[in-house]
Amino acid sequence: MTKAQTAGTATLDRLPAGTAATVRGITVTPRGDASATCSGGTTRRRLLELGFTPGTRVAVLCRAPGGDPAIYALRGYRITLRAVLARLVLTDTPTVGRDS
Amino acid sequence: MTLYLAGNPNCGKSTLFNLLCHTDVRTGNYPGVTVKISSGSLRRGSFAHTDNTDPGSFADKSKFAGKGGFSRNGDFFGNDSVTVIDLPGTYSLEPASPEEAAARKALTDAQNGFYAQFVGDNVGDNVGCGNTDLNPRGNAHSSTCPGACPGACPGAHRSAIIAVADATALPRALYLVTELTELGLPTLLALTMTDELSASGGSVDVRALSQMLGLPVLIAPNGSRNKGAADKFADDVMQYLFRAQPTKSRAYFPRVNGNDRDINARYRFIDSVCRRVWRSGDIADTGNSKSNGGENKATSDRRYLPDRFFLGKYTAYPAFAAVAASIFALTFGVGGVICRVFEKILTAASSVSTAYLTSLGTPSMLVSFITDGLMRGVSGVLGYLPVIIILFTCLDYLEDCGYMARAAFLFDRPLRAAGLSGRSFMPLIMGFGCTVPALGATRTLGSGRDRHLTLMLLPYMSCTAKIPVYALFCSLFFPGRLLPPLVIALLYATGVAVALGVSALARRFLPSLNGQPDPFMLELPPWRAPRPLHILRSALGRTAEFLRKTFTVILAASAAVWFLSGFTPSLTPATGATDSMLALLGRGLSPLFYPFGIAHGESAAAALLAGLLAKEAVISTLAVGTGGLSSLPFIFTSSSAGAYMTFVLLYPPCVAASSSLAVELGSRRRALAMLVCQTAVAYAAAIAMGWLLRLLGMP
Repeated sequence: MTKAQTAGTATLDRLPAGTAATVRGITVTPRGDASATCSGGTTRRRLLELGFTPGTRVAVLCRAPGGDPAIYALRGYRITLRAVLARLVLTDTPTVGRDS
Repeated sequence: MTLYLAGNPNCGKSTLFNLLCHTDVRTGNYPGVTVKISSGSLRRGSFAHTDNTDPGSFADKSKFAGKGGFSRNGDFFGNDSVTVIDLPGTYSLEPASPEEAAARKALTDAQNGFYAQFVGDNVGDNVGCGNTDLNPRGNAHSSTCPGACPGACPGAHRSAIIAVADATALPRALYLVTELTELGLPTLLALTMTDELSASGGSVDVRALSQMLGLPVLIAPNGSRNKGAADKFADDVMQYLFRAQPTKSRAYFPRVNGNDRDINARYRFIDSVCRRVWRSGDIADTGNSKSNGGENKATSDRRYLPDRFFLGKYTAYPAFAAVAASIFALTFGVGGVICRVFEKILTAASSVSTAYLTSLGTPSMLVSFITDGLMRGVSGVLGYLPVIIILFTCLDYLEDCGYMARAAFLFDRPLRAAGLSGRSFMPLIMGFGCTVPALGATRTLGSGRDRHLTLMLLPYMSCTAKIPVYALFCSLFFPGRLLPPLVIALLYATGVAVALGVSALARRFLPSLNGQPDPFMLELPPWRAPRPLHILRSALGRTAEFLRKTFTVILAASAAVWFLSGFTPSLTPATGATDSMLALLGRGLSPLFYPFGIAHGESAAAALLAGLLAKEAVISTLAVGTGGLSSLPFIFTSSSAGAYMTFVLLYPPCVAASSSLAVELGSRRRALAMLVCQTAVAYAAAIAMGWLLRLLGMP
């Protein structure tokens, strides 16, 4: 988290709804992390397979009441991600809307 | 010849499958509807005809850059049927859930089978072609392949893939497509949802796409009822199969263990393809466009417009409450009325057939077996069939228009309280209909842990078969206009509350359930206009499946109930309601019901035993045991009726559900342990309910 912020970037879970940003990369899944539950591959790999690759534009559409999970639009489709996972996706600063 | 339909979840594989095979596999607008691999045989439409009369016309119709013509004449497929296999949706060939693993296994088997078959069939015939680079997953192919004989032996390839890609999400869908091409099987790309793409102002350059991927690309017919287009599509597929040969992948990104550079490289290739061939129109952002317009597009995409209301900050939950309430009203209001009419008809039919059988001189024992045993059991199921059909129709409607995925999204956070994710929402909701299909629906869950936990909690969702019991007791002990619905709603809430408690306990004491829930990556499909005919058919299909699964069990259960309640332990016909085996068992168990506040619990206990076989039998056994339902107030008080209903709500499900629980858990012992625990929980909760009601001043 702190590393992301010092690098002048944000993580997907911090972007306000209604903004979009470009993916910079995905942090390495911390060991024993809650999100490493996909069998046969890490969550990191699944996120990449779903299209969260560097350079991809991702828009934050809305958050569920309570703020988590949220809906993201990328590559022509929409997907829900929990904050636990969205936190792994590093982005540049969002282009529309204010920074939180 | 086997044809595999592979693609992302909810991209239209099953719809395409139904088109190709003229079947009615369940489809829906929710990722993961297909939980089992189904197969059918390809209906060729007009192809068979063309095949026999004018084989030469293929060459003219051909759209593909196949290398050779057909050396044998057109009857090759005449004696070789084509099997189409509908695989569960998957995002990549690295599986993350049991269905994805099943899809991958089918494909790799096909890959291996393909080569095995190939070697067996053609070793002597065709030698010398170099498809050695097509086997990225390390199967023993490259050295042993006797040659891929392009075009020379059409049909020698026993398996082919139709890669199905949603044209509106092409920048993502091509990921799996390129992976599929690397399997080295003949592959064809079918684009679905092209109508949606053009409605959004987008387009795909099919020719360029075909060229860049090195694959034949077909546009799948839009809509499931367009018969002409469907036949034409089947023809095109057949034509392709005729000259099927392993696809020479243009892009090849081998997996290197320990890093994921292959994914980035693959997506870079896909982005370059999409930039050339894909215009997104209103659809939110393409892969790596540097434009800032993406976010505006994302919110103005018309296909998602209802989300502003259904997922709105303040409107989301009220909207859900309205939806749920209207389903409740429709199912139990309208369905209840139909049920009552239905029951009268069934009772009349039963008495007519009794009279008829007696007039034929049938032995009275047999008449009793048929009417009291079998027919009562059957009409018990048929009696609440309208409720089930209406409920399934409502659920299918919600699924088809896309609301189910939204509900899962909204309930992800609340379900975390039960240690689950939003994905479990759908099976749990179905549990209120019938536990048996709901248990099957858990197969869409990604993690085994979530699945296990959901299976454990499902029996606490009050199924429709228990409604007659609630209705009867409410009418006798909680009379009035407002009280019965309130009591029933309270019972449902009790079920949910107990499930939460059970989940907390199970997660604490069972190490296997100790982890974190599924990360909840659920694709949100666009809103689509529901297809009334399709919904009706799907609901009827589900109902038929439910009947098929339960009917034999219920027949056997009713026969057993009839036998136990009609005979004494020495196998002589019981003279009254008190000396049958069931009554004796009930008498033995009745002390257990003292804590409920039931002093003479013989028939109450017997009814619960019968209810283990089928919940429909509870009321009929009570009626037989007490000599008429009007005498129930002599046995129960309001508080003990409340306790009894709570026990009925929570105690183990019917045989049909219990046996499918064992199937889904993959272990009889586990299922049995679960049912024993459930009985204990139900017993404790029922006693607590009795206490609570007495504290509130009920008799």
